[in-house]
Amino acid sequence: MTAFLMSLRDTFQVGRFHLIRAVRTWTVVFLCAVYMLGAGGVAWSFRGLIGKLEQSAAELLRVPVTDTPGAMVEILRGREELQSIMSGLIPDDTLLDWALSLPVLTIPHFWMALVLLPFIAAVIGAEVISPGIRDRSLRYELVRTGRLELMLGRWAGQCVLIGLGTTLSVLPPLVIGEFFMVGQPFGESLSVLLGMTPPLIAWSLPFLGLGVACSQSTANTNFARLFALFGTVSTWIAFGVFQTDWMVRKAPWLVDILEPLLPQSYIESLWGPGLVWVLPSVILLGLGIGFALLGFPLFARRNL
Amino acid sequence: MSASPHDPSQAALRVEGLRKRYGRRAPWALSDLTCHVPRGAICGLVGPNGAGKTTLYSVISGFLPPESGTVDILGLGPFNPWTHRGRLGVLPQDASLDPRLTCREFLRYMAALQGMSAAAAREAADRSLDEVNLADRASDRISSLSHGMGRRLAAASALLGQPELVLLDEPMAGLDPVQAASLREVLVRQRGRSTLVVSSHNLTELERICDWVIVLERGELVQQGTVADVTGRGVHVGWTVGPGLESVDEGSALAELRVALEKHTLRFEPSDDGGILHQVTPPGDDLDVSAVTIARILARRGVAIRSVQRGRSLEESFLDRS
Repeated sequence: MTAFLMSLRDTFQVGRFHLIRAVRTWTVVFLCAVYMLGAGGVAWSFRGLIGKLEQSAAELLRVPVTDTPGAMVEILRGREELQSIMSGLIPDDTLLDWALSLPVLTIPHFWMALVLLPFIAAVIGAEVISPGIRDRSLRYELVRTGRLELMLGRWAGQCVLIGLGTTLSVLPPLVIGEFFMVGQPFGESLSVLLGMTPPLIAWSLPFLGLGVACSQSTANTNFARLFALFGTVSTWIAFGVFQTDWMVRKAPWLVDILEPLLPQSYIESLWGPGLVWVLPSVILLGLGIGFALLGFPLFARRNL
Repeated sequence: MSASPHDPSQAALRVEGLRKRYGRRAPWALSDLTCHVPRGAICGLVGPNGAGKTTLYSVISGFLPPESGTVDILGLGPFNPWTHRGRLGVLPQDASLDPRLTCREFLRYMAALQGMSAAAAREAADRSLDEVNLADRASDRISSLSHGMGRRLAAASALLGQPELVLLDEPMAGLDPVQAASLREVLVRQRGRSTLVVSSHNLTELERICDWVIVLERGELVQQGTVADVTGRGVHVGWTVGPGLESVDEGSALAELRVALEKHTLRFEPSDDGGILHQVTPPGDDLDVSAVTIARILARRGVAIRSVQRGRSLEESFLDRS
């Protein structure tokens, strides 16, 4: 077996075991519960908002108000109130038009995932290596495989966990749309939500990588989490700064170099019909591995 | 042992000029250390706290990079997971086991990382558990094991797949006498199958199982060799005797012994009720033959022999140097 295949095999073994351990330790259940609670909370809140908007629309149109929200969604789509809320979530006009054509509960789900996933991914990424440095349990693995394979394997295992959590998080909006609202087409909602899942997973990978990088740099998991959250917030701040006219004017070369390295640069290209998300997702996957590797030089030389 | 134990080129483990310290201003944890472990030996790594035993294990296993020097494991160069996995087993001193896994899950994962197929990993894990008498706890979580069982499980991971060289750092630390004896049996069973390097503060225990000893102090090699070399077992006999040997005058028992064994060094250490006669044999002389001569002379002179000890214990030898 060539060195590359052996390395790949080890990465797979480490990732597989990371998943088994997550299942055995209920980590996976906890993670999925967090995702589903978050998704359910947002969907339920948005259901309430739709209800209020429908109530005010019904009063204006002098038509009877329904107890279950969703009956007037088609009317709301054409009204300014909903459009202003949606444009707050989606600044791009073309994307907004596309989003308004989707089942209404899918938009806040996607938006919530875009905002929350980076932080969740960064925090769980921070727990990938550092506890093993602290209690030296990594030693059992490191007499059998390389440090790079160990790190990438655990990163990959964590990717699968995030994928699982993200996929399962489509259930709450589906259930709320089906049982607590009217006029929500189940099949269309399911297909849109599932279609959103791969780009959402891809979106979280760079932040997971950031967490894994921090996890390799310290034996203190709390510090690793803190660094990861700080790093995640920093990418948003940096992206915001790069968007300013001042920055574009003063240091365009810096913007040209650094902006493509920020996951936020690909956020808009993840939206849209069909498979437009594939290319930016591949870039985000590359960024995820790249970010995880940022901590590796330290981990590779570390006294364990 | 298949080759001469003194031939480093045939060694299972060879270390040359190894230096390591934790920080630029820190004292050397390993200072120009050169030593070797013969193939097939059970080697005791001995030294006081801070002697560098754990550092040496960690450098050999690749957990710590050395400042300088070379390590050659099984003639394949310094540690490399790809070349040494499955050939080198390590029981780290203070590494935790994941308490939420079962014993079998842990070992199967370790076996899989050693490159075994799923079926082979299952078989190797069960065999290893059986070897350390934990077969009945295979499906139990590690959190339910006692400290001693945990050490045995860690030892099982080190012995997984019958590696050629096994490093065991304080394998018996914190074990009660029964568990220590059980683990000692496990290690002794490896004789002839693997080369073992065992560190322990229990020198009596080490002396029982080891045939090669490396003594470290402050990161430096103090002595290495067979247990007989280190304890003087091949050259030294201590005779504890009753009264009658005190006089050194011509015609005394001691004078007769010195004439009979003129090539030997004889030193008498008197005490209130006799004393200890130290006999050091010159190279090439048969210790047993000279012992018979001494016993005869003492018996004829009516000097009681209370005990005879070949060499000194490892513990005594170690304490003499400390």
